[in-house]
Amino acid sequence: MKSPPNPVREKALERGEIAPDFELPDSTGLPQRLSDLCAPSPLVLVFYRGHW
Amino acid sequence: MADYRSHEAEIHANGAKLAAISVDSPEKSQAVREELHLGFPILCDTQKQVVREWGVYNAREKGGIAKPAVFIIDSGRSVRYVSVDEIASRVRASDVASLIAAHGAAPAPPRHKLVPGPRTWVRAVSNSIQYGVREPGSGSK
Repeated sequence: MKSPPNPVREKALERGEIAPDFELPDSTGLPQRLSDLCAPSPLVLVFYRGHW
Repeated sequence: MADYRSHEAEIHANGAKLAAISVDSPEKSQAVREELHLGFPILCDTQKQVVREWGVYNAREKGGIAKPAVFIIDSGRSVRYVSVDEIASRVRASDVASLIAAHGAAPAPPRHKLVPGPRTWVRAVSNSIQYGVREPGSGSK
């Protein structure tokens, strides 16, 4: 079953799923879109806690 | 993060890119990026949209932050690898670099091979074994 768009997800995306696309500014203000970042070569995306 | 910085070249050499993401502001993220001399971009999920949609939202700390996690995303946004830590640790960059090297990070070519052959990957792995995969904590934060 395809999950409807749901803003809060309890369990992390799993292997084999299609990640929801996003566009976010990077630290220099430049917009970055996931679909651009992960092509043509794969992207290693590291989530970190922040708020040091 | 510095752990990932020291493996950035290796990850690139094996045909992948690197980016970091947190809920911090661009200003704060840029400060971290400069302090740690990171060459890769830091994305700023200040609205906490991505952490929620990707299931890596830790609502219980500091008003809601990202759980430490690593995803490898292929072209087509297909999730190839996931590691999420419910506590304050994260999969080591050296493990991710090895994984990339071992599986070949280049996207699956549609028809013919336009990526380096297996021998190239093997060489990359041998190089990282021979020349070292630096332990985190040795001189970096």
